Amino acid sequence: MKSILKFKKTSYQQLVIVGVLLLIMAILSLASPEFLTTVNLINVLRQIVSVVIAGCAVTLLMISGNFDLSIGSTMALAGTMTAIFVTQGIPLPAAILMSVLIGMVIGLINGVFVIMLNVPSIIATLGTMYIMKGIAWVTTGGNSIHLGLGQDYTFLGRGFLGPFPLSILIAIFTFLVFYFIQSRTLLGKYTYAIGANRRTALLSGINVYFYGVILYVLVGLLSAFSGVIMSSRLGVGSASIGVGFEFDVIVAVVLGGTSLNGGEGSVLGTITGALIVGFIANGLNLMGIHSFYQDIVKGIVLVGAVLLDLTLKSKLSKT
Amino acid sequence: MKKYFVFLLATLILAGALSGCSQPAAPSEPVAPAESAAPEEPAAPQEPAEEPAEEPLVIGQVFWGLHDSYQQAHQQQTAKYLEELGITYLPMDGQMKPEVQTAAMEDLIARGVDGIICQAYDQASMELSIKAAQEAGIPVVSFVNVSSGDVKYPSVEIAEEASAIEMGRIIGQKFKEIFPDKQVKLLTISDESVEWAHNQRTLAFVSGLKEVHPDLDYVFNGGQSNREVAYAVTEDVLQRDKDINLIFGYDAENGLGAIAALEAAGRGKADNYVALTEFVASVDGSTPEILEVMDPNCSYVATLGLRPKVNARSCVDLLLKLINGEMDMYETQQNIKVPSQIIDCWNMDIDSTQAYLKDEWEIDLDIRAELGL
Repeated sequence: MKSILKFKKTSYQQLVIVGVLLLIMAILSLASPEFLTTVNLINVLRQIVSVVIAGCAVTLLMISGNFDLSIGSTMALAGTMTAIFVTQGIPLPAAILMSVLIGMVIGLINGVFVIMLNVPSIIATLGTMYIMKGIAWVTTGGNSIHLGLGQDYTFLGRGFLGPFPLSILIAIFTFLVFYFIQSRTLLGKYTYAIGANRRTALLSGINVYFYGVILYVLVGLLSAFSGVIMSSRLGVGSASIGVGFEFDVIVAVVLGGTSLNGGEGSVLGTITGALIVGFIANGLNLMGIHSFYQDIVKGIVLVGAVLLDLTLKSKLSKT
Repeated sequence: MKKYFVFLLATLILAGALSGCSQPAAPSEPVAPAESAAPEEPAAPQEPAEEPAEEPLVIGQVFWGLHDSYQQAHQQQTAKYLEELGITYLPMDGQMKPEVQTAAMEDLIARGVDGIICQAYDQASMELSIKAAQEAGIPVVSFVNVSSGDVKYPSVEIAEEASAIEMGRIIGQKFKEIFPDKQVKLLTISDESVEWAHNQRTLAFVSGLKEVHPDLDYVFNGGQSNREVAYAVTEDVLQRDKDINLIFGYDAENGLGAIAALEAAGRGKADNYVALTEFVASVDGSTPEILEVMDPNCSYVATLGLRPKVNARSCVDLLLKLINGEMDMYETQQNIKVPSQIIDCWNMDIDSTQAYLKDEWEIDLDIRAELGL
């Protein structure tokens, strides 16, 4: 009975999120005739690629009850390092690989501090955020790197594979991999268990330290990869990339139904959350609404969706 | 979960199918061009187009960052001018983020606007977006940034460099008069990562100042476009070096942050426009800066006033030339250069300053009342 209720609750919540997405799409379609065009929808998908890619790993991390505020800085550092490596004559694939490895090392550092040394995740990753941002500024000397990157540098972020934008295909692939991890692997199952009750998970024999660190490494990996794609999309390596990116990702994850307390959530919900955020920003832009008002609308949607979620949870738990 | 997945997928497929039935707005017919911009003098008010086209033109603009008072004034002046011309306006905030600017440019291209005005935060990434717009047949005018050569487009430039050099000279001369025995000890609050502003404002000001004071002591360079940061930088530098006697902020936020820190330290004072311990100068010409400059008891002596009205109208006029086919969208040799206005407490009085504010910024300000004079 409990499992039926839990399934019902989860499905209901997720359907509500999709409902919110549909409602927003309907409103924006009516308000702006340009909203529901193929070109525009592809634009939105390309704009949320970085949020989706990093968001997949962040979702699992938040389900496990932890945070990472350094993803924006990791993104900036990986983007700038890729550009630097390429300008120094390193082939692009190797440059990407090295930058992603840097991201994994940052994730490992975060994981060691948070999981092994018990430093609160917000504090530890806030520190990493500043350090990585600083390194990105120092390595670029405050300038954006765009000379000597070559024609193929923008392929990852702007190129097409057949009729499909490559970056969107990468995001879909990342989602599928993480959907599989979340629903079909031990890492996924243990992530929920650790988030629901870390102590119980530990007593049940789950190596919470190992899996906790792995999740941080995955976040570092995908944040860095997001940075590589963003750098490619913009055609520059710049330390100014990714300012506030961590909040964009967290908003998408929370909108998607992931609990800030851990134990609940899904990567599929995060995709929906990212779509909601992307469509709102795009639709309001198309309508010519001033960015100051856009912030208000985004805030209202975020709080409204979470309130709706809480209300539904409360009602379902009473039934 | 599977049901949810299917539902989400169905939603996206439905949206895709519906989008296949929709087409982006067709580009509008060109309208008669407005008068060409007059870069050297404030543009005279333009007459609205006599025969508005059936489909009004749509012009989009991607700003550097609308948190800034100049950018807001520029937006208001553009909106006002385009309303006079019967053109729909889509302003977008770049939020000082290259990725946000890129997204805004993509949105405008998707919207099928007739032309775009943009000011790059990161020129290299913006040029990729300009190229994409041009490939979609949308002409682009750049404000401030000049074509690097890889992508070609016309620009409206702020001829700040010459004005900043001149302001450096004026301040250098006055410094000699007021502090004849002192060596200039200069603190610049600037941001090297914003290359164009740092070069055209800070370095230009320093070079003008050096013409008069070749032995000046250049103390520190740091800061962002942020008043709190400027306050902290000034506070910290004053702790270390109390002999600072000239502070230059590369925009309003930096100048105002510096004067606030000076006042907190019991400095920043003047006696009937004669500074007691130091000069403060900045760039932007915003109302708070002007009030400080016109205050006879404050050591804020000058600001380089941008001209939002002339700049806004010049951008629109140049873009209309491209839209109407009077100029090639890849033209790089006919850029418009708008000089800035030096507002200092020695050569401009309160009345002429109020006239500038009214004309350029649409601000009715009674400076005497504000300052209690």
